[in-house]
Amino acid sequence: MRGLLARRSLARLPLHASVGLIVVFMYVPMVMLVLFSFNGSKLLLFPLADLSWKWYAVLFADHELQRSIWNSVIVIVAVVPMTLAVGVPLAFALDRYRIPGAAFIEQLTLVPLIVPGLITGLAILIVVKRMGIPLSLWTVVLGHSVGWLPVVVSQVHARLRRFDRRLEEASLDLGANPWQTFRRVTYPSIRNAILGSSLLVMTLSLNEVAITFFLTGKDNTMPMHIWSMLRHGITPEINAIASLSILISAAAVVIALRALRSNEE
Amino acid sequence: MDAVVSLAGVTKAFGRIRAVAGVTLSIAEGEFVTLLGPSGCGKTTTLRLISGFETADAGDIFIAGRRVNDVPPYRRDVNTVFQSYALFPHLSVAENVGYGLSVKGVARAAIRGKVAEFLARVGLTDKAKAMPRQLSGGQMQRVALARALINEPKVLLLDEPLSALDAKLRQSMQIELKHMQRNLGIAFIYVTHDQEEAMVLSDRIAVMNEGRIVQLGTPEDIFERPGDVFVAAFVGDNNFVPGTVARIDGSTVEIVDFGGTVWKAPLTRPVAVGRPVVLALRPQAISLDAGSDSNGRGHRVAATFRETIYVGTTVRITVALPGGHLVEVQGAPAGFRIDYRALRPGDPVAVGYPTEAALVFDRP
Ligand SMILES: Nc1ncnc2c1ncn2[C@@H]1O[C@H](COP(=O)(O)OP(=O)(O)OP(=O)(O)O)[C@@H](O)[C@H]1O
Ligand SMILES: [Mg+2]
Repeated sequence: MRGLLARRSLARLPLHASVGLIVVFMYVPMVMLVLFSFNGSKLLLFPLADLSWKWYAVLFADHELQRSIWNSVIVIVAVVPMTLAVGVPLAFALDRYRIPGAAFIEQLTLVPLIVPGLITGLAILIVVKRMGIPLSLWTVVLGHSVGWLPVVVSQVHARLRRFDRRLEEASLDLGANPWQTFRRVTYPSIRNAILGSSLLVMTLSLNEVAITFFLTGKDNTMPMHIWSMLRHGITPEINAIASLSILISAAAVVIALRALRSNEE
Repeated sequence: MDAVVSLAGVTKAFGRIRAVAGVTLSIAEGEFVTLLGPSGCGKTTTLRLISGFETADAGDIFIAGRRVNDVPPYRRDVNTVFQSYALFPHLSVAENVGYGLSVKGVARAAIRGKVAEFLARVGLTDKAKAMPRQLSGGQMQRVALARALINEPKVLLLDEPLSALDAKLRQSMQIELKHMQRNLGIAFIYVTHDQEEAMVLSDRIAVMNEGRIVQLGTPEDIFERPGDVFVAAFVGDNNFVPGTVARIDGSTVEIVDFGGTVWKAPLTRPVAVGRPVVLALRPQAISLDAGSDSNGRGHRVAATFRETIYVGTTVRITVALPGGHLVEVQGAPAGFRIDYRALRPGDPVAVGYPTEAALVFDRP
């Protein structure tokens, strides 16, 4: 038995090794970046000579950066409800009504997910310019909403497809009107899909550069600001802000995946 | 007694399929009526027309005297026990049972009391806090029942509620259902394609076929006086012997089958000599004698032994008529007047039956 088990784990060695390599390639750079954000000296030397919070202090004194973070927050706070307001009803429509070409429409809603952000941004820019709308954070919101709408539609639709509609009939049968039925039976089962896709939209929007690049006016979002800071070289300050954004994104993604996984049960 | 539910000429088609084709039915207060019929005959659709999930193409539906054709399901005073149970997976057993009262805005304390009462009725007091996925099939069934009954509807609709349970549990649930229905005095409309279940439970049975009610009556009516070949074949076992009316002798009809065998049956409906008919004879009504024995009872016809199937409580013996037509005889192992174990294929036997046990139908 033992021998068999040992042989088995031996056979798995290549698998384990390749997984290990992937993890190393993915996470070592990030770990380095986070470590250097605590680097007290200006030299990129390892091991760190001097641990310090000072770049985080510099960060919090940087008004331009603060402004860009604030702009990112404004964009997120607008984009998430926008994608939900359009995406959730669209997912319901795709699920409930016999729309001719529903499958095609669904694939159509997924297109922005496949098209590079650069193209999405450019395409919307052309339309916006044509209509004479000045570029601002609102055009950025428009761009992000178009770009991330598919996340909401696909997640909510996937959940609705697995939802047993007989539960709605049972609710109506027990005297609940359609609104009560939605609130007490349908919504609780798509709640996690909504939460999960909101968090995904949030992180995607927080980190988006390409769409924003084309559609923003004079206001910069956080990743755009980091980009512009790079002109002065990779400063420890950038490492600090990047570390923070990794932290926020990772937290959001972990929660989102949890919500979406429980959604799959 | 007033009808709690009545259907008058109700019709419902899905595209070209006529799922319900002119059903007229009236259910009295506290009555247990079963819709019995083969798969696809329109039983579920009939229930859904009553509960309001389908709208009738023609005809009227009344609940407690009110025409409800245009009333949505949530304003109809009926509740349903679904075949799939359809318990809300995110709510506990107690919350499932209290759902109907809760959406009607009943006070919490009152709901709690009622839920406890109905959980006790179905014997699930200790499962109040459990989630549906933690329950067995039988327990889910009880929760579904309590969840519907707590609303004290005028009528409870049950769509094959026991079909997912194993045979033993099914039998005990049948009895429980029947008791509960009597105690609460609520009318039940019950759907099944299990004729035995229908017999056990019902005050009246509506046998359906192809969207119509082909016979409506008490279990005895349906079993002993089936209105046509379909009902005779669907309810209980039957032997069918096609033949022609040869002679009418007072209150007895003589029928000659294709093999030349002469059969006798009581004259219950006017028939003419020469008419093509089918004689129906239940396997339990037939006795078997040795071919040479002339002391047999009732009418006797000659046949040859084919095979015996032993099923414990009964023995099923197949015999062949001179024309080749097969007839099944059924009885308790000790009830045979002949030693069936000694029979070899081809041995001559006599099939006997009391004339009153035979039924004659028009050949369809
Ligand atoms: N929503 C629907 N769309 C199209 N056809 C339907 C629909 N519902 C039922 N039918 C058809 O109507 C007929 C009657 O269906 P129904 O479900 O009432 O049968 P049933 O007697 O309940 O059968 P079973 O014993 O199999 O449950 C069937 O031919 C069925 O295919
Ligand atoms: Mg059915």
